[in-house]
Amino acid sequence: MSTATIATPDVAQLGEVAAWVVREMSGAADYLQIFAESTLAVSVESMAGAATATFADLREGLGCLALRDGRWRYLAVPPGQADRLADWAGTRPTNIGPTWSSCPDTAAFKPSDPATWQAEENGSDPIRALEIFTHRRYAVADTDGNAYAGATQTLRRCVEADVEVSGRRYSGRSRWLRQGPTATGAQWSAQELVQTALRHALDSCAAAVHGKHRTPVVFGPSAAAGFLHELLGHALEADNFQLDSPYIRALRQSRALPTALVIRDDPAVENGYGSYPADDEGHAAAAATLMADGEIGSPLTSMRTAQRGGHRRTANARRTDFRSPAIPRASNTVVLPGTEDPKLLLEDQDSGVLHVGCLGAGMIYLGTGEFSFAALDCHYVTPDGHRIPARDVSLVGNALEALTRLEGIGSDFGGDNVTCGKQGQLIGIGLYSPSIRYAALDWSAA
Amino acid sequence: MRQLESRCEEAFAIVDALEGCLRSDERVFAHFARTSRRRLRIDSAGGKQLAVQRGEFGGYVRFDRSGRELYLNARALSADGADRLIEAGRAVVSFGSPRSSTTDQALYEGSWRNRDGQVELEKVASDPTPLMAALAEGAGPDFTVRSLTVSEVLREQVCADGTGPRGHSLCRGVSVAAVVSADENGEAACLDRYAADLDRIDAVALGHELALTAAAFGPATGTFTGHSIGFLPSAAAQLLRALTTTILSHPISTPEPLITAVVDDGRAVDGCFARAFDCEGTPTSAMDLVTRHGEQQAVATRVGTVEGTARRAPRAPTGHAVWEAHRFQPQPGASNVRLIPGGMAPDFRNGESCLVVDVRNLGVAELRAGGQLAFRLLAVRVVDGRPAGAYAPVVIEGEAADFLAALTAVGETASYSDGPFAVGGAPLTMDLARLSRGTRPGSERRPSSSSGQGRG
Repeated sequence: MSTATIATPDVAQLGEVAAWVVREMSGAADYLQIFAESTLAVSVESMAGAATATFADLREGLGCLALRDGRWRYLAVPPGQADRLADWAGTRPTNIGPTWSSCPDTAAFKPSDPATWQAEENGSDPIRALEIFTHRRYAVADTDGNAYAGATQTLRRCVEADVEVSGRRYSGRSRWLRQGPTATGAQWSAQELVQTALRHALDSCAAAVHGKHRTPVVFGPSAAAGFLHELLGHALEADNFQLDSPYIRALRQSRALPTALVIRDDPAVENGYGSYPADDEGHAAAAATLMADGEIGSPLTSMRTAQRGGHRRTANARRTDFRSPAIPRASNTVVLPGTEDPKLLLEDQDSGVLHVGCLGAGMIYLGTGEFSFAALDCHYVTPDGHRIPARDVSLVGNALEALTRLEGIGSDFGGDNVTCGKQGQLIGIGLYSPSIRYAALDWSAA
Repeated sequence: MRQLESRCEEAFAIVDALEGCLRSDERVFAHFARTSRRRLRIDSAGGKQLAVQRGEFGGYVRFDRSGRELYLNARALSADGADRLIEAGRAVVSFGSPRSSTTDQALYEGSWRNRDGQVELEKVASDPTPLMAALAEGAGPDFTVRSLTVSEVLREQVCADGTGPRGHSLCRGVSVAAVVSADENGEAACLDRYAADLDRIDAVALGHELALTAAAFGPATGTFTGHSIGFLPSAAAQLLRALTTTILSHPISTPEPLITAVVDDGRAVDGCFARAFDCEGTPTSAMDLVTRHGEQQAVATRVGTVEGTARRAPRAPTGHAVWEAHRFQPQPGASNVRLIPGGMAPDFRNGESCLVVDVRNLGVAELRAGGQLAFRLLAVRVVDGRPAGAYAPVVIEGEAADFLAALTAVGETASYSDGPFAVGGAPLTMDLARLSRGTRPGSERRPSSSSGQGRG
């Protein structure tokens, strides 16, 4: 596993800007950290074979985190306004700083012809396709002498297919992601993405399981990581962990957590949406254990939360862009495979099994561990092995109880890329896992 | 005390700076908006704190060259940054989509505001007693008002079509938020009311709703088994927000007669998002999103349409474009949504009722494969207006049209709630028995398969 770093002269320039600001303002605070960013994200959207909208997001500026008189403060300014930072910090730059780098280059990105997204089969249904290319360049420097400058390139493709039956519309989705200098040249198939999205939409049309149920639930590869990211990953982010809520206390003290489960946060997964060479405070990427041997690991930290809680510093300080301070976030949640045949996990002679292909969205209340999630691409597998599509599934329950009901880890493995929100900041994360079975969860379907 | 004033000239200066960067074959349309607040917090001991948030203009620039256009995110853009933004646009304009026809789009020109004058926070700061007393009266003797926050909110937006029409819209209002609990260690409830001015907020009703909400947060003492359920205004607003979001991605296909209509009023005086035009500069107006016949009306932006029932589509933009940078282009959305009163006005002060205080949406509407919604309701048993124990949470499911058809009474809108768009909260009653497909509480526990819908 590796994460590709792209070094260009402009990245070095950003590093010089960050280092210069730290030098100029170093006397103004007990600690200073400068985050310099120059990112260009371009998205191209097409619908039914025609280009519909193009969007460019230039994210450029400096974020300054300062500790003075025991108080942390944060200010973000656009390029060329380092003097505003100096005013804010109560100092004055003595030199003219290095010039800001040019706009990030997107020449490697060539959007697909909109006709590429027309379905070769079932061609009458409208397909919405989105290609997002992000060239992110960032540099960090602080008064402790830490410095880092690097860049990443990410290409993500998302497809949404709508099918209409009796005036009702049903949708299905698929997505693809590559990271690094070869992302734009990587092999991919538009038709594979289109057909996957269409298949999910058609399954939704054909859904035939309704009402509320309690059965064994098997989360497929990557969906299982998504479930555990919500149940455990967020609880182990240091700012949440320090709340020491009844749920988090119970997690720390529980003797009933599954011993077979090994979960890691790994920012070095190849082509992971949450992969990076160093986090947004310049800390070199390294994996952290979230759970092993039936015990939770130490929390995921940023510089401040590690200091405040007395925890080990991990490479998990992340931010949407320079306008926000870095907070502890997951990178890629990775669950190690087990030994069980994934097909056998789907068998249940009594009540059948719900198979969850993708965890849509939802929430966990970290005070009590109560959760509710929407699940996509679901099937109910009957006791005699028939797969019946289930649409708009909601999963509700208590996280601690759910964890203690884990009863099987498959030998398969798969990954996905999703966006995750916290405190108004949306970031990309990767989800990697085998299939995992829980003995009984409450769910309902439309 | 510092005042909140319009700063639209700053936004127009950015537009001028953008114009100054353009070449002869280039043009821009810009939309910028900002929100600023003056917040006065008063604690139970009478201590006061004032905080002012200025709010920066942000929005988007539509950059157009030689028949191709693209959207440039312009969050917290300053005049100094105009050249770099245009430079970024030029670098990728070759990927731009063909320019959308604007022949049917009328652009707003001029200046509009929802009210005159300022909100008199100074009066509350000098004597908060009447407001505190009204809240306490509503909360009743068993509950205490822990804190009160009164905020003046100013939202303004500008749009400019190159050197053509320019529009400015200003919405000023006030929000009253309070925290109430039974005792210092008891569950606290925090709710707010918003209106164009303080005298349009019923603080006694807010105090009453706070007390009922705090009671519902306590340990459950029973399970609700009936069919008729009431919604307090804040919970009703949560429900209406989810229904509106859903119908904008999964329009109603099968109309059923309603006792109400869902109205989006862009210029509602008391709405948090009262505005004269949408993010594309199209004038706003009041429109039934869903009529009393249960039919959904179509809405349109320059580049997108949400078709109505029977696939009806408008010929021109309807004033419903909303800018959210993470959606990459203006999306069909809403401004200030409310339900029209209908049925017999709900009376929660007399007799016994089950009242919902909190509605949690189990999932995200945009990510649903169909139009199905599931909600987890927190409710309290109420006898003659006073709380008599929390109910265990209730989960209800159905499609947006099912929930609207299940409403048996809708009262007057008490307040609009803030969010991606404003939603009016009115007391409601609903007949859970009318929610379809057997997904009510207590339905089957074991999966049953039935024949699914085929593909047309």
